[in-house]
Amino acid sequence: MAKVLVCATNKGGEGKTTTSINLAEYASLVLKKRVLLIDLDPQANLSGRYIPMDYDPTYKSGKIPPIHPDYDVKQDDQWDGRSSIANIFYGEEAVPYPTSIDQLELLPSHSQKLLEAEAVTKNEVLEKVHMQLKYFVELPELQKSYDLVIIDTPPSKGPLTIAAIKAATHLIIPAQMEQFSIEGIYGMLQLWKQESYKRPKTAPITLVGILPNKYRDINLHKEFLDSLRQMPGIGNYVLPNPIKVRAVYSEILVEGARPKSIFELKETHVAREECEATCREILNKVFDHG
Amino acid sequence: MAKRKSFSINSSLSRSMEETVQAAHDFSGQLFVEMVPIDRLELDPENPRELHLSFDDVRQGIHENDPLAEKKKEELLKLESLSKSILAQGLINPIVVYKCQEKYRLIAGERRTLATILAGQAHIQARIFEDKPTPLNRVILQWMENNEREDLSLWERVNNIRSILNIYSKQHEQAIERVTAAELSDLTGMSVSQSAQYRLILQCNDALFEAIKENKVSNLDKAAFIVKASLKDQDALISLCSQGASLKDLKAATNKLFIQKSDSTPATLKDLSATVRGENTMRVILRALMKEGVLTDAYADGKLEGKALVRYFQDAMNSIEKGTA
Repeated sequence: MAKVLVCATNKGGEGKTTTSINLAEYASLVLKKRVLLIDLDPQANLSGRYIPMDYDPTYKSGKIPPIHPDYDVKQDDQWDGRSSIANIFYGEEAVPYPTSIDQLELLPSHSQKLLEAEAVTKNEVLEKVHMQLKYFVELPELQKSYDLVIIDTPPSKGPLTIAAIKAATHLIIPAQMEQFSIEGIYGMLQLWKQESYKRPKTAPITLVGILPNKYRDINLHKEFLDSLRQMPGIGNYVLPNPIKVRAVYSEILVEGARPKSIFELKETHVAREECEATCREILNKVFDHG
Repeated sequence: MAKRKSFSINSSLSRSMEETVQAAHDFSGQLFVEMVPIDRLELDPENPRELHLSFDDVRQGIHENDPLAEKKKEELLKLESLSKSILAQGLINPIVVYKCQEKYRLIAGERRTLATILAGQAHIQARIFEDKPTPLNRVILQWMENNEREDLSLWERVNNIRSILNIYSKQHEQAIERVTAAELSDLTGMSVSQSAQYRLILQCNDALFEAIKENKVSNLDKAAFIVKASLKDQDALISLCSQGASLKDLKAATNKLFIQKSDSTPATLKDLSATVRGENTMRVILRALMKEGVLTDAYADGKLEGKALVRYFQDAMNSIEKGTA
């Protein structure tokens, strides 16, 4: 079975997208796993890293995926050539895009369609949104094609995040060591708890851990991290290596940057070492290697 | 010099986070619901049946030669409204089953299953336990399921609690009476005061049990109130209850009963024959009343014994109450 790792917290700016990117690139570049990256965030930042997203002419500041490389205008009269993860909420097929990294494919965002799915409130439709992603990742073709699916989520506890949690085999919560962020962890723990209640024992949702992110050597961060580590029941879930604030994490995201990935840095580079340690820790748990 | 700043996560947030993680561990899988084919369901042979109606009776109709035909038809009629609501809105509360080889055995939800069959459906929503629950877990689950139901009589509830206490006390090798209300509350999720009421009722006399069984006393508060009343009053209270008296009526009636009693033997007299520091309580009271000048009749301390002392004490109390002492 392909593992489905979801990176989620309802607070914005915690590093969900960057963490998803680093995990996906570590898994594909270093572990040589076949990875599908799914961008559920209507902001579409993650998608833009791998494929040149188009601005949506019908929706202000919205983004849509580019024409798919496999699209053939003569043959595909049922398809407009663009494919996003939002398709699955509309009963349409979703076709992953290749990226510049072998073994890493992407199902990009579609701002307007995802925002519409996120805004669903009617109970019967909500139920459909919630279950759609789970059905999608369980499709036999998808299970055959990938070892790992990584899902980046919007900063909310809305239908899209819940859909991701329902599809997940594993959950990771990135968080800064600050007041609002800790409250965000609590929000996610609640979703995890609710989902755990409803899962069969044979298919649990495993909380891989809380990732202390954008960490600085200041009293606030140190003491919040210590507090978390000392909490009974929570301490075990705090990942051992915090990811520190470093310019390089932002630099690699710039278009045309060289190197383009943390894993293209020298092996002894402090950021690569730090990032690798965390990715190794997380993916070891996901692939059950201790 | 500026003081070093210190930060910590506030205690209410950290407590809530800890509780959330603990609950996730303790109850994972407990709300897992799946659609189960009804033909793979079977009744648990260890679980006493509530109804005479079988799955086949609902599927194929009740056979006229069936000696229980009348009863079964009545039961079937009662299932109709539930069956209609299942058709209209689906099953709101899933049944509870455990896996037993190829079959699923019912822990709770016999009526819901029958009503679903009656609604012509082939599948039913079920919470599935992978393993057979322990006897204690099974009765507690049944209690939790049943307690939600409004149509359950006090008698059925009292019996459910009795089974829970029986199994629990056997497991813990202690007498049923030793199980505290707090333990019962932990087991069932009821409040401690409700648990205390059930405990009281389980120790009541046969007449009250019979009245609860016959639904003459159908309310927990009233039943607990009657148990606490003196034995003599209980019959009168039960009969008031069967005439539809409210708890308030019962309380008012008890006060009246108590006043009437003052002409006869005070209900608490037998307790007064107890001793305080080796002395008979009645003697202590009589001596004190003499000393205070309340009793004018000569009271020969130490000369009266047994029934004579009781009679003397009784007369003295009556005359004090009537103001003739």
